Amino acid sequence: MTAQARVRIGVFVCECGGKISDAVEVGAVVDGAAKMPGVVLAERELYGCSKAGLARIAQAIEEHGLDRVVVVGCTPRTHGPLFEAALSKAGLGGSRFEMVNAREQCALVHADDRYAATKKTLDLTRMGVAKAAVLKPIQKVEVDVAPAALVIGGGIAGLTAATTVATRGFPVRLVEKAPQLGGQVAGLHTLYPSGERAKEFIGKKIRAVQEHEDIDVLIGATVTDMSGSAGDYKVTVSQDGSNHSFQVGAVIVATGGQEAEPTEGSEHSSVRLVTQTELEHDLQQGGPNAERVAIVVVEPSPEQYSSVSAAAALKNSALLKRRNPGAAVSLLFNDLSSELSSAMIQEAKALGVQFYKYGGEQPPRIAEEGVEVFDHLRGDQAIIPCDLVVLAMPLVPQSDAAAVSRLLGLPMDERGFLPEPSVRLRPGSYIPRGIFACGSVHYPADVRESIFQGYRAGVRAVRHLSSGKLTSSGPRAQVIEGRCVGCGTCVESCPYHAITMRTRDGTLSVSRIDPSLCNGCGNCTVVCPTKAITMEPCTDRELVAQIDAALAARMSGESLILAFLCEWSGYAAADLAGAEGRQYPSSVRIVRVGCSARFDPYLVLWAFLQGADGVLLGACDPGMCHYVDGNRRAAERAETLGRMLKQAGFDCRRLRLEYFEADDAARFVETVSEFAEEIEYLGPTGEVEADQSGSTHVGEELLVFES
Amino acid sequence: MITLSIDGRDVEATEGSTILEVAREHGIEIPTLCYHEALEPYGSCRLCVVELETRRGPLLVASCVYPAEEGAVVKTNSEMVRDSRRITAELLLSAAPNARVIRELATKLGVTEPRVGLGDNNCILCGLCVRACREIVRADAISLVNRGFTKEVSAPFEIGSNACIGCTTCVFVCPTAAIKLEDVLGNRSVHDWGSDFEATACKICGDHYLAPEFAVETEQSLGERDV
Repeated sequence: MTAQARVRIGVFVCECGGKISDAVEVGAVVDGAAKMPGVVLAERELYGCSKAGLARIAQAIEEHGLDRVVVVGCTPRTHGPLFEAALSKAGLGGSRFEMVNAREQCALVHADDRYAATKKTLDLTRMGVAKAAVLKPIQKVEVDVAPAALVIGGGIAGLTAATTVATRGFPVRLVEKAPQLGGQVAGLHTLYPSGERAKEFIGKKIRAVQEHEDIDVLIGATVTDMSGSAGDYKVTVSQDGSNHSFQVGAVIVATGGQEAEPTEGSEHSSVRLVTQTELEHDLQQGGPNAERVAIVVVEPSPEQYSSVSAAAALKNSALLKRRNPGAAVSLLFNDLSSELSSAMIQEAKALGVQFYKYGGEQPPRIAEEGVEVFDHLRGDQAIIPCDLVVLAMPLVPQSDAAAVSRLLGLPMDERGFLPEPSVRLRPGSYIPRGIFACGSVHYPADVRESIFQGYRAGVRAVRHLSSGKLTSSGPRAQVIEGRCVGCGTCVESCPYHAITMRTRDGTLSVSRIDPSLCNGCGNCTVVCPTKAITMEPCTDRELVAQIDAALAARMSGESLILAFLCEWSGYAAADLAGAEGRQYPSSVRIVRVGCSARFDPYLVLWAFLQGADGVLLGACDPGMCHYVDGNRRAAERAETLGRMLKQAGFDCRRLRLEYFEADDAARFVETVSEFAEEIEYLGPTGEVEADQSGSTHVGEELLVFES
Repeated sequence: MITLSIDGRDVEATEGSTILEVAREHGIEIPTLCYHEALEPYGSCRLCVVELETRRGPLLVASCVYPAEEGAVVKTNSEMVRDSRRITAELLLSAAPNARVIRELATKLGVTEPRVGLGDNNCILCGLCVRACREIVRADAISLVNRGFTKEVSAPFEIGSNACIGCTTCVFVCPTAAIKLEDVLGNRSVHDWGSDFEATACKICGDHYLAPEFAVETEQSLGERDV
């Protein structure tokens, strides 16, 4: 109670030009708010967000010495930043502000029951005030960006990225593990569709990089370590047995791909078997000398199809025919993707290349005189006599992809490629890591695609480096060292690997959370056995305050459900339900969290102990979690808790975890209505005394309905 | 503070306000569609036009963007304004015949059947989605592209946007329910792995929660422990 006594909260109840006041008795809300703990001022506004409204709020802050503001209005998702900016100007920055959603969660969805809408608005206001009373401002994190970039890989994508960054004024260190630059392209003969010689083409790019004064090339070198955090990475490179270390602010991964190894060899000496890479080498040397060639586009599995190898195979078939019109050239394929240029296909056919579609069930076999294939178009086995068989294998990740993945903390997909993880969080609420990927390390890319991606990665890296300072004002977890017992559970729980252990006083370990890597999901706060981790503005204190406030003014016979909704799923769906004017029962009180990872079983138990009749947990659909897999963990915790409740004799139907889609308001309303009905049917969890509120004079302001 | 006249009433306003802001402050209703309190005004829907007296006669101006000036004389419901509003409603109805908000507006103004062809989606090009994404979310994932009849809201190159964070603010602010999350993301997922997303079943427990890229990592790390 002492925290509440110290704050001076101003509550501003917005009529929203009638949109709220048409359904909610605003006067009653103002009267009720004025009596809530910590509130020194409660006023109504026609449009709180208007210029005049904001000016009046600013004036009130000064006149009454307010240090917290609660606006009872519409959704903070659209209007939050507007108020935050205005309050910052009035000296009340750093999130000393809470917005209560009376429009989308009450006025628009309980339009036919003025009493219920008003009562709910009062409850939500009480929750907002209780939270504001214990709110601590969020500290901004600022990180200086080291103005230099590292490019790993000197192939076409890496070379393009390096020149892109360097020409825009940032020094680049380019690290290539082979003894020369050029990557895969250096080993090719010609490029398609231009027919340009690959060596000349890549030679130009290599020279541009070598001659650029801002690009430092390290060949025969590998990155062995990368430490530090976003904006300031310390990179260690090993070259010729010695180590170099330097600082960079951005890292571009362009380690590329390689042709897969063929699984079968040839036991038949009369037929020479080569990979497409070897064919390209041969072509560079002036060969191959073969009168009968079969190029087989190999597709070990549908997911491994690479249109890059198929296109190269097409190009090579035409090239061989053009060079030696008398030769017999066949192209065997399972399915020529629509991505391949039809002009190239027509040209190859016109030159006399024989096309064979072999179908997936029976791949071609190397036989004594040539290739045995089931010709799909003719419907029977065919033997194509040839002295040279080229296996065009798909492009797969480089052999060191796993090592690169571990080094940079970039996840690998099922095929071993490194898709650049997209961080779908609000800009400004997290520190971007500054790691970019381009070229075949990502997904099989041809030359044109690699150049495009290299350019794109370069430009994005430049934008990152140009920030100078990276700032984040989003929620971030912090360790209370005095409570930490060094168990390390939090370390494993962090999907962003932001937590490490360090020693304190030489012996004890405590956790340390890197503020530039923490994205604020809340997992660590939940798993910590001693509750040594807090995360403003979603601390246990704030959540408990809201739970208590939601239940403080229970009327006897009133059903009350606490709904913890993640802002990306249920909360957004609830807002949309308001916008669409969908009605649902008024027994739900929504508590907003950033991620369902924040659902703490202890808080659910607390809600039930305080008298909630039902608890609803709203998470994103499986696979849709913005914080990697918070929803999976939430589901596990809910399930475990449900079983424990059941064993304790508590009706676990009162606890539900539901998946919501942010744009499916109909389903949200359907689910909530059904749950509310079930809770109504199950009855109250305990006895509610007629006047159990010690803290507010409940009902007095609602007497207005009796006249 | 400045003084101007709206519908014959003298009202006071802070300098720098728009006519719409002044009107709203004083409880004078002017219909709007593309106006949003949390966004910079845009003036695209033309529903909020009012009649402003000028030396050269009455002028229709968009009240959401037109600044309130000292001594201005404004009429919010004159015949000129009502005519303009009716035509605007008719054109909006032809663009978004299935949108509830537009139909209600048309009915209110006595517009039944648009005299021009009907559009096939509900987008009225009010720009709210684009502006919200830029000004509130600051992700800047979509934009108004092309001009004339082909003008539309799109993600860059009409493929899934990399900048979209899947917050559905655009869906929420759209007055006619014309935009869907898939339109911006290109698929339903907030994770990038091809355009056909499917959650992979974990090989150990069989549950479908794991997103493919982390399926590999998690299964590997679980495999190392005794499950």
